[in-house]
Amino acid sequence: MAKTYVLPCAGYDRPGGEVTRAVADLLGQDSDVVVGSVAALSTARPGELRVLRAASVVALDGCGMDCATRIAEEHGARELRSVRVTDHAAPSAPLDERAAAVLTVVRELMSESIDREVPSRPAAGAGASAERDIVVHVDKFKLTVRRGYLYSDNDIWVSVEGDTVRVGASDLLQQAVSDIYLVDLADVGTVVELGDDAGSIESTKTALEIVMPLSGKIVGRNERLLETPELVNESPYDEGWFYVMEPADPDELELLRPAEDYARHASKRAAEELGHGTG
Amino acid sequence: MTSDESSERTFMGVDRTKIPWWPRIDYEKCDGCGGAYDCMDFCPHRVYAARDDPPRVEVENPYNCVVFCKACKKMCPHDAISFPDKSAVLKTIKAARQEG
Repeated sequence: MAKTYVLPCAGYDRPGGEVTRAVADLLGQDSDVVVGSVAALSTARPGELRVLRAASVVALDGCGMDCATRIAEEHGARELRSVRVTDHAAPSAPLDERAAAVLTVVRELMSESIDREVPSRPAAGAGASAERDIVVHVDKFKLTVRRGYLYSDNDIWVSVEGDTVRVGASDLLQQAVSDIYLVDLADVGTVVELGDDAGSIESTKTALEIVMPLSGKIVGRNERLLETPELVNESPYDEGWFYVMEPADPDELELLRPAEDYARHASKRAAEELGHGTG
Repeated sequence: MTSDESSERTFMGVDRTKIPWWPRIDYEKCDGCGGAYDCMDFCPHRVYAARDDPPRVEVENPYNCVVFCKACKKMCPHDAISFPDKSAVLKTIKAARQEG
């Protein structure tokens, strides 16, 4: 179950701020709640941003300025709900009564969140044919490797298409990073060397740069990923591609692994890493 | 993953232990994030280990580091992490491949 990140505005300059602090203190005793810090978000502390973006977020605003909501939005909260103290408790009521009223509202919101399952993405390799993909089962994981593609040890596939190549993330990579919510791609025209990073992906688990498998010039990029980054998860070998490149040195293709070799390599890696972290 | 496992690894066909790619820590800057150890918390490959007197991180399993990955560098709030020159490392890899 995903954690709930509760962010109190904690404002000392508004009466409602005291209520948000009291409610956060009470909720913070729950094991599935993380109490967030507006100070840590405001300074973009990496650990705080990671927790915020991986969690269901409830912002507690003490007044109509909605500072907690605005800060959570600005820093990439994904599933964000807001509770404004002044909508649920009269300013003249005692602190414990106002806190109890707000606490009830927040717990109702959280119970809705718990009941709602995150939509599952299609199983990796869904629709793949035996002829098209190598399928490897590693414990509970099903790993697919597209035949005919070449693979870097940074888990990027390369498909040779005449004078150009298309590149994307392998199934192992997309499963390791988990649900991707942001893909940032380098501009068309960018010239890269093998090993350079060009763009990045962010998921609920991590953030990774796209390490280029070949030297060359980027002549096309998958604009759809900017709006629908989840295509990398859903269709890593087809709709989820990253770039089309003009390779600078065809000899570098020899540095890549054929599909059968990568399947062996990836299955070993998957046994070590899936369920533990990124590839 | 353990460091023993990584010693059996290759990257681009080269023994991982012959590739000098891992993070370097500037101890003038690293303060262990006041005990939060953001880079260690981020990296799933157990490259880092925490030290607490004073708080800082050390590179405990350098060959667990994914060659060309610099993701932890962005996690550091003090810009205390650096990596070797990528082009030089690539030359090392290509030379090692030719030596067979």
